Amino acid sequence: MRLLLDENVSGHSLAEELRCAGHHVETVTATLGPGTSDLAIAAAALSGGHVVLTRDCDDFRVIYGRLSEHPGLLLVYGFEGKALASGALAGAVANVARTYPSLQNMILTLNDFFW
Amino acid sequence: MARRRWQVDLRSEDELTLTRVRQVLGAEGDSEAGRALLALFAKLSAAVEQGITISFLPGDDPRAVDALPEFTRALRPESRYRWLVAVPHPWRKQLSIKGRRITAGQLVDSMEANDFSIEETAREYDLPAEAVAEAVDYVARNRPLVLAEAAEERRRTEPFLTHRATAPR
Repeated sequence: MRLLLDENVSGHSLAEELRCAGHHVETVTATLGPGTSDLAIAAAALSGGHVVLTRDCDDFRVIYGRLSEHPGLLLVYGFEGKALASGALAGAVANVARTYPSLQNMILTLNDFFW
Repeated sequence: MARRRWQVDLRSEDELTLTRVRQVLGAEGDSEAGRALLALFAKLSAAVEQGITISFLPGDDPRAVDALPEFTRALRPESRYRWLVAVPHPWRKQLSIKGRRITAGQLVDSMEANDFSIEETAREYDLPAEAVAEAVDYVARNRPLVLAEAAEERRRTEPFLTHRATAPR
Protein backbone atom coordinates (compact mmCIF):
# COMPACT_ATOMS: atom_id res chain seq x y z
CA MET A 1 0.00 0.00 0.00
CA ARG A 2 1.22 3.54 -0.74
CA LEU A 3 0.71 5.43 2.49
CA LEU A 4 1.05 9.06 3.51
CA LEU A 5 1.12 9.36 7.30
CA ASP A 6 -0.37 12.56 8.68
CA GLU A 7 1.60 14.36 11.39
CA ASN A 8 -0.60 12.97 14.15
CA VAL A 9 0.43 9.38 13.26
CA SER A 10 3.93 10.12 12.01
CA GLY A 11 5.90 8.57 14.85
CA HIS A 12 9.11 6.96 13.59
CA SER A 13 8.19 3.54 15.05
CA LEU A 14 4.94 3.27 13.08
CA ALA A 15 6.56 4.42 9.82
CA GLU A 16 9.34 1.86 10.33
CA GLU A 17 6.93 -0.98 11.16
CA LEU A 18 4.90 -0.24 8.04
CA ARG A 19 8.01 -0.10 5.85
CA CYS A 20 9.21 -3.41 7.27
CA ALA A 21 5.81 -4.87 6.35
CA GLY A 22 6.47 -3.90 2.73
CA HIS A 23 4.38 -0.74 2.43
CA HIS A 24 5.61 2.36 0.63
CA VAL A 25 5.46 4.96 3.40
CA GLU A 26 5.90 8.71 3.33
CA THR A 27 5.25 11.03 6.25
CA VAL A 28 3.81 14.52 6.05
CA THR A 29 6.50 15.76 8.40
CA ALA A 30 9.36 14.51 6.20
CA THR A 31 7.81 14.95 2.76
CA LEU A 32 5.69 18.09 3.03
CA GLY A 33 6.99 19.67 6.23
CA PRO A 34 5.57 20.25 9.71
CA GLY A 35 2.35 22.24 9.85
CA THR A 36 1.20 21.38 6.31
CA SER A 37 -2.52 22.05 5.90
CA ASP A 38 -5.04 19.24 5.45
CA LEU A 39 -5.91 20.48 1.96
CA ALA A 40 -2.25 20.42 0.90
CA ILE A 41 -1.91 16.90 2.33
CA ALA A 42 -4.97 15.74 0.40
CA ALA A 43 -3.63 17.33 -2.81
CA ALA A 44 -0.25 15.59 -2.38
CA ALA A 45 -1.98 12.26 -1.68
CA LEU A 46 -4.11 12.58 -4.79
CA SER A 47 -1.18 13.42 -7.05
CA GLY A 48 1.03 10.71 -5.55
CA GLY A 49 -1.66 8.03 -5.34
CA HIS A 50 -1.24 7.73 -1.57
CA VAL A 51 -3.76 6.53 0.98
CA VAL A 52 -3.75 9.09 3.80
CA LEU A 53 -3.60 7.69 7.34
CA THR A 54 -4.77 10.27 9.88
CA ARG A 55 -6.39 10.84 13.25
CA ASP A 56 -8.07 14.06 12.07
CA CYS A 57 -11.06 11.98 10.99
CA ASP A 58 -13.74 14.65 10.75
CA ASP A 59 -11.57 17.20 8.93
CA PHE A 60 -10.43 14.69 6.30
CA ARG A 61 -13.79 13.02 5.75
CA VAL A 62 -15.18 16.49 4.95
CA ILE A 63 -12.41 17.09 2.37
CA TYR A 64 -12.66 13.60 0.85
CA GLY A 65 -16.44 13.76 0.81
CA ARG A 66 -16.15 16.45 -1.86
CA LEU A 67 -13.87 14.39 -4.11
CA SER A 68 -15.28 12.23 -6.89
CA GLU A 69 -12.09 10.13 -7.04
CA HIS A 70 -9.39 9.51 -4.46
CA PRO A 71 -6.86 6.77 -3.57
CA GLY A 72 -8.48 6.04 -0.21
CA LEU A 73 -8.61 7.37 3.33
CA LEU A 74 -7.72 5.46 6.51
CA LEU A 75 -8.95 7.05 9.74
CA VAL A 76 -7.94 6.27 13.31
CA TYR A 77 -10.21 7.00 16.26
CA GLY A 78 -8.25 7.87 19.37
CA PHE A 79 -8.19 6.76 22.99
CA GLU A 80 -8.54 3.03 22.35
CA GLY A 81 -5.80 2.13 24.83
CA LYS A 82 -3.05 -0.23 23.67
CA ALA A 83 -4.90 -0.81 20.37
CA LEU A 84 -3.19 2.36 19.16
CA ALA A 85 0.35 1.11 19.81
CA SER A 86 2.51 1.24 16.67
CA GLY A 87 2.59 -2.55 16.30
CA ALA A 88 -1.20 -2.79 16.57
CA LEU A 89 -1.72 -0.02 14.02
CA ALA A 90 0.68 -1.72 11.59
CA GLY A 91 -1.20 -4.99 12.14
CA ALA A 92 -4.50 -3.28 11.36
CA VAL A 93 -3.05 -1.82 8.14
CA ALA A 94 -2.00 -5.36 7.17
CA ASN A 95 -5.57 -6.56 7.82
CA VAL A 96 -6.93 -3.76 5.62
CA ALA A 97 -4.53 -4.71 2.83
CA ARG A 98 -5.58 -8.39 3.09
CA THR A 99 -9.28 -7.46 3.04
CA TYR A 100 -9.21 -4.92 0.22
CA PRO A 101 -6.71 -5.09 -2.67
CA SER A 102 -7.44 -1.43 -3.45
CA LEU A 103 -8.85 1.37 -1.29
CA GLN A 104 -9.86 3.47 -4.29
CA ASN A 105 -12.64 5.88 -3.21
CA MET A 106 -12.97 4.12 0.16
CA ILE A 107 -13.11 5.77 3.58
CA LEU A 108 -12.35 3.29 6.37
CA THR A 109 -11.53 3.37 10.04
CA LEU A 110 -8.50 1.37 11.06
CA ASN A 111 -10.28 0.67 14.36
CA ASP A 112 -12.46 -1.86 12.50
CA PHE A 113 -9.36 -3.89 11.67
CA PHE A 114 -7.81 -4.59 15.08
CA TRP A 115 -7.97 -8.38 15.05
CA MET B 1 -21.75 33.54 61.85
CA ALA B 2 -24.66 35.76 60.77
CA ARG B 3 -25.26 35.70 57.04
CA ARG B 4 -27.07 38.19 54.88
CA ARG B 5 -28.76 37.06 51.69
CA TRP B 6 -28.14 38.99 48.49
CA GLN B 7 -30.88 38.75 45.91
CA VAL B 8 -30.38 40.28 42.48
CA ASP B 9 -32.79 40.61 39.58
CA LEU B 10 -30.94 39.54 36.45
CA ARG B 11 -31.58 40.65 32.89
CA SER B 12 -30.95 38.04 30.20
CA GLU B 13 -27.54 39.55 29.33
CA ASP B 14 -26.66 39.39 33.04
CA GLU B 15 -27.57 35.69 33.01
CA LEU B 16 -25.08 35.10 30.21
CA THR B 17 -22.40 37.05 32.05
CA LEU B 18 -23.06 35.12 35.26
CA THR B 19 -22.71 31.84 33.36
CA ARG B 20 -19.38 33.10 32.01
CA VAL B 21 -18.29 34.12 35.52
CA ARG B 22 -19.06 30.63 36.81
CA GLN B 23 -17.02 29.05 34.00
CA VAL B 24 -14.06 31.42 34.22
CA LEU B 25 -13.78 31.61 37.98
CA GLY B 26 -14.55 27.91 38.42
CA ALA B 27 -17.52 28.68 40.68
CA GLU B 28 -19.90 25.81 41.48
CA GLY B 29 -23.05 27.91 41.63
CA ASP B 30 -24.40 31.46 41.67
CA SER B 31 -23.53 32.04 45.33
CA GLU B 32 -19.95 31.00 44.81
CA ALA B 33 -19.78 33.10 41.63
CA GLY B 34 -21.01 36.12 43.59
CA ARG B 35 -18.40 35.57 46.29
CA ALA B 36 -15.67 35.18 43.62
CA LEU B 37 -16.70 38.48 42.05
CA LEU B 38 -16.59 40.20 45.43
CA ALA B 39 -13.11 38.76 46.05
CA LEU B 40 -11.99 40.03 42.65
CA PHE B 41 -13.33 43.50 43.42
CA ALA B 42 -11.62 43.46 46.83
CA LYS B 43 -8.30 42.53 45.22
CA LEU B 44 -8.51 45.27 42.60
CA SER B 45 -9.72 47.95 44.98
CA ALA B 46 -7.02 47.11 47.54
CA ALA B 47 -4.41 47.49 44.79
CA VAL B 48 -5.76 50.89 43.76
CA GLU B 49 -5.85 52.03 47.38
CA GLN B 50 -2.17 51.12 47.67
CA GLY B 51 -1.37 53.53 44.83
CA ILE B 52 -1.36 51.06 41.96
CA THR B 53 -2.90 52.11 38.66
CA ILE B 54 -4.66 49.29 36.87
CA SER B 55 -3.79 49.57 33.18
CA PHE B 56 -4.13 47.45 30.08
CA LEU B 57 -1.11 46.34 28.06
CA PRO B 58 -0.90 43.67 25.34
CA GLY B 59 0.04 40.34 26.92
CA ASP B 60 3.29 40.18 24.93
CA ASP B 61 4.40 43.65 26.04
CA PRO B 62 7.57 43.14 28.13
CA ARG B 63 6.28 45.72 30.64
CA ALA B 64 3.13 43.69 31.29
CA VAL B 65 2.94 42.00 34.67
CA ASP B 66 -0.03 39.68 35.08
CA ALA B 67 -1.91 40.91 38.16
CA LEU B 68 -4.60 38.25 37.81
CA PRO B 69 -2.84 35.08 36.61
CA GLU B 70 -5.73 32.83 37.68
CA PHE B 71 -8.04 34.92 35.49
CA THR B 72 -5.64 34.78 32.53
CA ARG B 73 -5.19 31.02 32.86
CA ALA B 74 -8.96 30.49 32.96
CA LEU B 75 -9.65 32.66 29.92
CA ARG B 76 -6.54 31.79 27.89
CA PRO B 77 -5.29 28.37 29.07
CA GLU B 78 -2.57 28.39 26.39
CA SER B 79 -0.86 31.26 28.24
CA ARG B 80 0.32 28.66 30.78
CA TYR B 81 2.32 26.91 28.05
CA ARG B 82 5.19 27.74 25.75
CA TRP B 83 4.72 24.89 23.25
CA LEU B 84 0.93 24.58 23.14
CA VAL B 85 -1.39 26.89 21.21
CA ALA B 86 -5.08 27.26 20.48
CA VAL B 87 -5.81 26.50 16.83
CA PRO B 88 -9.03 27.77 15.22
CA HIS B 89 -11.26 24.78 14.44
CA PRO B 90 -15.01 24.38 13.81
CA TRP B 91 -15.56 22.45 17.05
CA ARG B 92 -12.29 21.31 18.62
CA LYS B 93 -11.14 23.38 21.60
CA GLN B 94 -8.13 21.50 22.98
CA LEU B 95 -4.66 22.92 22.48
CA SER B 96 -2.22 21.72 19.81
CA ILE B 97 1.55 21.55 19.53
CA LYS B 98 2.89 24.87 18.23
CA GLY B 99 3.87 24.70 14.55
CA ARG B 100 2.59 21.13 14.19
CA ARG B 101 -0.79 19.67 13.35
CA ILE B 102 -0.93 17.40 16.38
CA THR B 103 -3.30 17.98 19.27
CA ALA B 104 -2.11 17.54 22.83
CA GLY B 105 -4.58 14.65 23.16
CA GLN B 106 -3.32 12.85 20.05
CA LEU B 107 0.28 13.08 21.23
CA VAL B 108 -0.44 11.88 24.76
CA ASP B 109 -2.73 9.12 23.49
CA SER B 110 0.09 7.78 21.30
CA MET B 111 2.52 8.07 24.20
CA GLU B 112 0.23 6.12 26.53
CA ALA B 113 -0.64 3.46 23.93
CA ASN B 114 3.04 2.76 23.30
CA ASP B 115 4.17 3.09 26.93
CA PHE B 116 6.66 5.73 25.78
CA SER B 117 8.41 8.06 28.19
CA ILE B 118 8.39 11.80 27.54
CA GLU B 119 11.87 11.56 26.01
CA GLU B 120 10.90 8.60 23.78
CA THR B 121 7.81 10.46 22.58
CA ALA B 122 9.91 13.53 21.83
CA ARG B 123 12.25 11.41 19.68
CA GLU B 124 9.33 9.66 17.96
CA TYR B 125 7.74 12.92 16.86
CA ASP B 126 10.86 15.11 16.54
CA LEU B 127 9.67 17.41 19.30
CA PRO B 128 11.41 19.03 22.25
CA ALA B 129 10.83 17.04 25.47
CA GLU B 130 9.43 20.22 27.00
CA ALA B 131 6.64 20.27 24.39
CA VAL B 132 5.69 16.67 25.24
CA ALA B 133 5.81 17.44 28.98
CA GLU B 134 3.47 20.38 28.43
CA ALA B 135 1.05 18.17 26.47
CA VAL B 136 1.08 15.63 29.31
CA ASP B 137 0.34 18.38 31.84
CA TYR B 138 -2.43 19.81 29.66
CA VAL B 139 -4.15 16.46 29.13
CA ALA B 140 -3.93 15.68 32.86
CA ARG B 141 -5.77 18.93 33.56
CA ASN B 142 -8.24 18.62 30.67
CA ARG B 143 -8.85 14.89 30.17
CA PRO B 144 -12.68 15.21 30.13
CA LEU B 145 -12.44 17.72 27.26
CA VAL B 146 -9.92 15.59 25.37
CA LEU B 147 -12.05 12.44 25.74
CA ALA B 148 -15.23 14.30 24.78
CA GLU B 149 -13.54 15.56 21.61
CA ALA B 150 -12.33 12.05 20.74
CA ALA B 151 -15.94 10.86 21.06
CA GLU B 152 -17.16 13.78 18.97
CA GLU B 153 -14.59 12.95 16.27
CA ARG B 154 -15.99 9.42 16.09
CA ARG B 155 -19.64 10.54 16.18
CA ARG B 156 -19.15 12.97 13.31
CA THR B 157 -17.18 10.49 11.18
CA GLU B 158 -19.13 7.22 11.54
CA PRO B 159 -21.94 8.05 9.06
CA PHE B 160 -19.43 8.81 6.31
CA LEU B 161 -17.42 5.58 6.37
CA THR B 162 -17.90 3.85 3.04
CA HIS B 163 -17.08 0.34 4.29
CA ARG B 164 -17.26 -1.38 7.67
CA ALA B 165 -15.41 -4.55 8.59
CA THR B 166 -15.61 -7.17 11.30
CA ALA B 167 -12.99 -9.69 12.30
CA PRO B 168 -13.06 -12.81 10.09
CA ARG B 169 -14.17 -16.05 11.79
